[in-house]
Amino acid sequence: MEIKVNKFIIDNKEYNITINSKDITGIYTNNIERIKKLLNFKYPLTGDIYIDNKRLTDDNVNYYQCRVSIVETYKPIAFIKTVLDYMNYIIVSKNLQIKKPNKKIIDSLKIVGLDDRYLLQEFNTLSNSEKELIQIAMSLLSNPEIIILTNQFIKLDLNNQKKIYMLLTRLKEQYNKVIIFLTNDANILYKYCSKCIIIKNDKVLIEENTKNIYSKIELLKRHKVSIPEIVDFTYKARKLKKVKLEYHQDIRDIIKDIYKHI
Amino acid sequence: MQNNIIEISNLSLPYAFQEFNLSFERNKLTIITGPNNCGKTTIIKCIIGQIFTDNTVYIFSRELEYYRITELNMLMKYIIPQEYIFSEDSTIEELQNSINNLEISCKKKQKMIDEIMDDLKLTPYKNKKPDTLPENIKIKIELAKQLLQEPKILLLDDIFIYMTKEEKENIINVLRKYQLKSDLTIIITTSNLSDCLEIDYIYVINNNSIVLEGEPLEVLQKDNILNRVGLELPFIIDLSVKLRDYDLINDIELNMTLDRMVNILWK
Repeated sequence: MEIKVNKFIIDNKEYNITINSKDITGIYTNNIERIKKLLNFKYPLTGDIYIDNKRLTDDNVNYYQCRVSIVETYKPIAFIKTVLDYMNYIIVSKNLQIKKPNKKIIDSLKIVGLDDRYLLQEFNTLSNSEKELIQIAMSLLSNPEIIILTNQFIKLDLNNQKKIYMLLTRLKEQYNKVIIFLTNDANILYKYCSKCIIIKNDKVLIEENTKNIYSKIELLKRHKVSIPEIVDFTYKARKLKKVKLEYHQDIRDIIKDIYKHI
Repeated sequence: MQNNIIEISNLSLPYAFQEFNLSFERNKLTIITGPNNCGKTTIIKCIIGQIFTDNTVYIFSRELEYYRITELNMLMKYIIPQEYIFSEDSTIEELQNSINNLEISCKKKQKMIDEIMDDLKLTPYKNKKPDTLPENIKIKIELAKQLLQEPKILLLDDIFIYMTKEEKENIINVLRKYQLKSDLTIIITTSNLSDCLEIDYIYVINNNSIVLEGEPLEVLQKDNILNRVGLELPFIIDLSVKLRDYDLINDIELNMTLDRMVNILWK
């Protein structure tokens, strides 16, 4: 699947971006709400958006909106106590057409590694990470083709981050889903996204595979885009001491490289 | 023992801790860290009485149950993200409202408000409605409200996940200022070890028990244990520990910068 946003105007700013299901795409932006709305096709169509070469029009936009799911942060709702209440509420409020809702709810929980014991647990007794995992499970209820995560990873520890990353990779590879991270955390982008789009001051600064982007440090620094520390360290060693270190993602690789160059 | 302001003794809950003990020293900034679901928020909720504990939490050596609610409210403040309510139409009114009960002159109250707004960089949001602001600003407003009331204990549950690095540094500086000014004991929970560099003491909790405790430098060097429980060391500390293991550097420094590390490695 491919989403192509072409000359889309929001508040006099033009957006041109391409996102596909081959990559996990990370979007670095300070205006997460705006990009979320753009990729949820909620703006009036003031430009072209193509999905698999099919142009979005006023007639088909609703159909595509239903295929996008945004992993939201949990907000308490009156009278909703348990996880099951919440899941059922989402199905009704979003008007999801599901034949066997109970089975679908249990399956979604299983996908994120939670069992059905959670269904009767009250939301306010869950930990932050459990809430996040349930939000991800909830986003899968509609069987979406485009899944957008907004800063969810920050609340998870390393093991849970890896677990959710594996799940998202599986969804991308087996079911051809488009996975998008919206964040301003450079470490998350560098670690988990194969393609990045850097938006600075409401303008697409650069759109490329992650490794290439984070080798253009001068450009990123000039535009005050945050850089993962592991990249910044390599950059400083290369620039200040002319050491030929490679850019690595894993700290163990950089240690080996340092050892070679000492 | 006398220096401990809070003691948890033999805490047992049906779904978490068994005979769990923990204490917090007076006038210190302590961090409770650990992987997701290790019980960090549960500890906070036990201390503030949101989870009933039968004579296991002691504040100033006195059982929590023996305090009057008003007494506890004066002594202890807490922030749990998304569990606060703003009732006023502007940040300034919200802050004014929080110190209505203090018996000091209006002029002094205004000075205190101006100072904290300046400290927490809240001045641009002075006339904005708190409810409509982003989560990081809401937390800062809530923090300002609590600090203005000059509590003796402040508990902050995972507030840093909403903050940028600069905002975190600023908040730690502000907390340090109030710690000195009003003999404040601060307890913060976090899953991010980068938040643990500028503090006094760390508890690392996993599987309902304390797996590590001590001063930051001492704890952060135990990379194997921290990684095993699912915590990621800050890059520069992780690099320092591993380079020391390879005998490429001698010492671990908490305030090590990337430039300094490059200069040490390639003189």
